[in-house]
Amino acid sequence: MWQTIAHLFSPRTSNNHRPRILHLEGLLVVGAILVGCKLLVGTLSTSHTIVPAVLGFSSSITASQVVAQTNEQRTNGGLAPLSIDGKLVSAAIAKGNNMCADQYWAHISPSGITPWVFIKNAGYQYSVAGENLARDFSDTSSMVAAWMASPTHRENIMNPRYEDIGVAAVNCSLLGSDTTLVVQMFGSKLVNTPTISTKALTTAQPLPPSTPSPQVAGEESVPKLLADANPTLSLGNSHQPQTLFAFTPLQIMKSIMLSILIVLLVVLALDMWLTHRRHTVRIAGKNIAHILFLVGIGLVVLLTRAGSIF
Amino acid sequence: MVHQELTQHPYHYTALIIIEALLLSLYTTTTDSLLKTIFAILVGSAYAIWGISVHAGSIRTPRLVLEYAIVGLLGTLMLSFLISVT
Repeated sequence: MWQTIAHLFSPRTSNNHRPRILHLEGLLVVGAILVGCKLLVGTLSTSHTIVPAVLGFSSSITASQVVAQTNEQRTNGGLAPLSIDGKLVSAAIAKGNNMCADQYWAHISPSGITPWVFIKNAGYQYSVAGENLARDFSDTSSMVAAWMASPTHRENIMNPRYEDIGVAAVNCSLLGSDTTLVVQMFGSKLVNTPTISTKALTTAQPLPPSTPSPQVAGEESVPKLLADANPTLSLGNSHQPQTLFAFTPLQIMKSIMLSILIVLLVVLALDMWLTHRRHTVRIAGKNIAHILFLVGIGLVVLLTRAGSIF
Repeated sequence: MVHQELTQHPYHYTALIIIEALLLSLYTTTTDSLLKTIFAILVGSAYAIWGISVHAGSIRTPRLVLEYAIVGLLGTLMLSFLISVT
């Protein structure tokens, strides 16, 4: 056993003074392992029937975190924090579920349903409203940071006219890949809204003709929504069951790649040190160059984040 | 030994660091999948070419050339796989 490990990872006579893993065949095996892992992750992430509870959704994003971090940004900007509104939460959940059901990733559905329809159907009478969308983020901080880095999304978060917020995090298979959609809806209630009974609020209520049209926070006529992720509510409405492990395909691939890189870097460094110490003369690639190159790749792997906003 | 190697080929290593840093920066900053793939291929290819060129004045066996090519290929594979899961 020890001989095999030493043969694989340490320069010695048996491997012609070059660790076997650094031979061409060894490097090709490493490449094959990488390709195999990628295929496996790809298969498992798109096939719930094989391993339904291992791969897929990132569930570390929670509604409370999104609201807290959104309000933190507003507070830092000298704005009043937003209040969670149950109707906006319902609207956000409905929007998330609609995107999953109709398989689209946009503010306006392929059938022309705008975000305002979901807000109105939830019974929220608004004077101004907005929407932010995000998907594939593994944590709340990077998602909110991405929104803040985008001028139009930032404008929604930092809009002083908004008073309420509703967030939904919906897990589903969207366009062929498991993902966590985050819908963030903002709004301010119509000031002169007539009193409406509780029963009426639970049904779809079209806005009266005098209701002002919603404010468009983004460019052109793209509505602005701020998503409030309530994990309990949103997961209850999701199309797929919550997974047991919160590992995304990206996280798994990053772990595999970083493990391979660490092994290679350690073996390269060990090989370099031992050959220098033993004054071994051989024809081989430059270990320092390999290390520099792989460290560069490792940094990119380490710093890569998933997620997109809309 | 590291210092000795770096001082022996200062321009080669400077070129390697600059080229790789440039290509990896382009890979990281671009958002288009096709462009990312192209930069990933360029990263690996550039390393293979660098490896071949750095041994131009010494013994350069086919296995040596292949070693740089395969290490470059590993880098390209990793960068490409990152694109498909983000």
